[in-house]
Amino acid sequence: MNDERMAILARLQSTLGPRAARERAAEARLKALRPNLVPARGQLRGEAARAQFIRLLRENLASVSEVAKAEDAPPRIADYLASISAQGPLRLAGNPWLAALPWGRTDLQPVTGQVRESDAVGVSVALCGIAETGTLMLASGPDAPSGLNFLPPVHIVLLRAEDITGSLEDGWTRLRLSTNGRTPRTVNLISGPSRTADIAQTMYMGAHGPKHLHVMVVADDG
Amino acid sequence: MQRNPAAFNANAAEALRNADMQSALRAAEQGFGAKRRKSIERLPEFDALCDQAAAIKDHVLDHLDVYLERFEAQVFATGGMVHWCEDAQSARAKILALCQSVNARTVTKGKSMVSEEIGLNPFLEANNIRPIETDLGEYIIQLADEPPSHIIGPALHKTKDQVSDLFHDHHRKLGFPHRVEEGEALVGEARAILREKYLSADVGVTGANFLIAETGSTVIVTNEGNGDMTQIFPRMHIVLASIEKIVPTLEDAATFLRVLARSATGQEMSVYTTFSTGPKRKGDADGPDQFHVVLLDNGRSRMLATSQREMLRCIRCGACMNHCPVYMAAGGHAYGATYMGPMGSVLTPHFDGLARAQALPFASTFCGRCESVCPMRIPLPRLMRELRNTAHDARLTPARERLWLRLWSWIAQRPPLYHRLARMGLPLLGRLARGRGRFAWLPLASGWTRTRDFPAPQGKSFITQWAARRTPEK
Repeated sequence: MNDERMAILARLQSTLGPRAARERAAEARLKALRPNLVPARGQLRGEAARAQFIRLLRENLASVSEVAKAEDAPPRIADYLASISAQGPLRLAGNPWLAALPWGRTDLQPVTGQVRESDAVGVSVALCGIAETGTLMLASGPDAPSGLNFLPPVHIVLLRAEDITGSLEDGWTRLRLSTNGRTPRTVNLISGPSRTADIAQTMYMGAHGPKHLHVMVVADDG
Repeated sequence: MQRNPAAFNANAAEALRNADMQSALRAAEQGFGAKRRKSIERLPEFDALCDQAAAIKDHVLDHLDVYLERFEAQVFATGGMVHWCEDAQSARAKILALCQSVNARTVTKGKSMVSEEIGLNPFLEANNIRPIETDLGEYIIQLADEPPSHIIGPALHKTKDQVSDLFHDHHRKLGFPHRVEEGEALVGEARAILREKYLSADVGVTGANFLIAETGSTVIVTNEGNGDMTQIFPRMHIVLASIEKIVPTLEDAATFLRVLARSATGQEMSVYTTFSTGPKRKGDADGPDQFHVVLLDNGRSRMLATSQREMLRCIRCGACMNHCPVYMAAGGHAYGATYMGPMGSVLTPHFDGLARAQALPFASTFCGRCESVCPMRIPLPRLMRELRNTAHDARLTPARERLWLRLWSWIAQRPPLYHRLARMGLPLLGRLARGRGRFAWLPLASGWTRTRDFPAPQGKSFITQWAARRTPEK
């Protein structure tokens, strides 16, 4: 195995020439972490970013709702689930923010812990939303199993309005800050519910992941 | 159809007679082209982004050894392992050994063209490990025991009716007794069957669209979510990727993501883009216990030393084949190789040898659409032309063809003779066409005239007309 590594690297080096200068150039790029061209639509901020984020998510067949306060989320989730006739266990990511919401004001009886195949609904919190493409960024961790983003047929993602940012590059900056530069095991960029076009190039929803993606933007996280 | 690039002409003829294949290709041609155009019109910076992405890839290729070593160090630092493999055989053996190390019986698989390149499935089966393709298109062709006919739409050649039949045949014994025809119902059957596989598989194998040197992350893009289920639930996640998939930083990956989905499916982003870094962390709620990256060379480091190195910029979006008149007539299976269309016609001779694959670089009209839509600015016609030249020089092309070319070049290098023959020949051909302006049949050109008329020369040659026009001005 090591022989193959050596052979491949030796061949590359004999083609590419002396290493020192090339090493410096690569190191410089790795250190700078400089964004390349960011399109104008990825440079929006504030209200414009929020509007575009929501518009693009809807274009990608996610549904989006906005609530003024976090405590409004559980009843709105109950309403949403009733509107799509979803029934069955609702599992929350082990996120303290989610756990603190007043679920008791609804008939929902959320559970936490390991995601199961029988779960009907998963509720996660996004690290940020990317306005450029209407994309959610979710990072895995003790409070955030990535299985929850895929296994239940309905996925609900809560997002603080202040966490909507312009571009994927802005998202990377937030990720590095929030994880102290230690990349989590999984970073999921999610731009809509699961779909496939593999049968006769016609789009069908709910291929393997969630059939429904509902994003709830929380204006005030207090 | 033969899985042999040397059989391209016979395969293509067969495909042209296949009505199902032709109707599937017509739908693909219109769908892909229109969606790509629309998404690009919405992003004024698209061309500039492509230029940047191509430049980044050139930078990566110039520093490939350094970035690969950095990637390896980062995978190691996050608790994963990297295995370097010279060729297909070595990569297959490595993956088998990893599967056996956890006594794996079933392996779920995300879509990976490199897996097709190394022939992983038949090898695992021969060693009593069951590979289960989970991308719906790959699942369909695994049931049909066929190779992919397109790099991003593997079952693009199948009609819905054919999928109904296949599912009925295979799902009958799995508790789905009735033949279903609705698309939703077909997707639902596959969803139900594969869910259980994700949760019970011992190992998940995925490919990678990108490998990030900065973080040691591997990246996949899907619309179905199958690649995620494949890697979240089994104990071991194996990523199979070729060495040119490296990009330096997360910022650089962002640039590639902006051009990849738009070029491929006309989406602004695929539904799921997933960055996987190492095995699950201490305290993580889920994820694999082991994370392995199998890095495949398989001729790529040698290609880097040739004038064909631009091909290593390819990000496998499929735009070249989606816009290729030859691919859209012949379909992917005609190429008899893992990779098809213009990108495949360049890659296959490097993987299979030009002697076996020399027909492929000739499977192009050189209309140039592939190059014009390639987000990585790969000069595909030039690369195919080089391979044609090499095939000619190595005497791999038909002897009769070389003889005619030699005769032509002998005449063309003698302008007076050439012009005299042209002055004699043109009016003669014109008279032979008897004023109809075209031939229904012409000696030595039956390949052309069998399906269409050959236009007859009209009037004088360009050189004669040019000379006549220039003289009065002086």
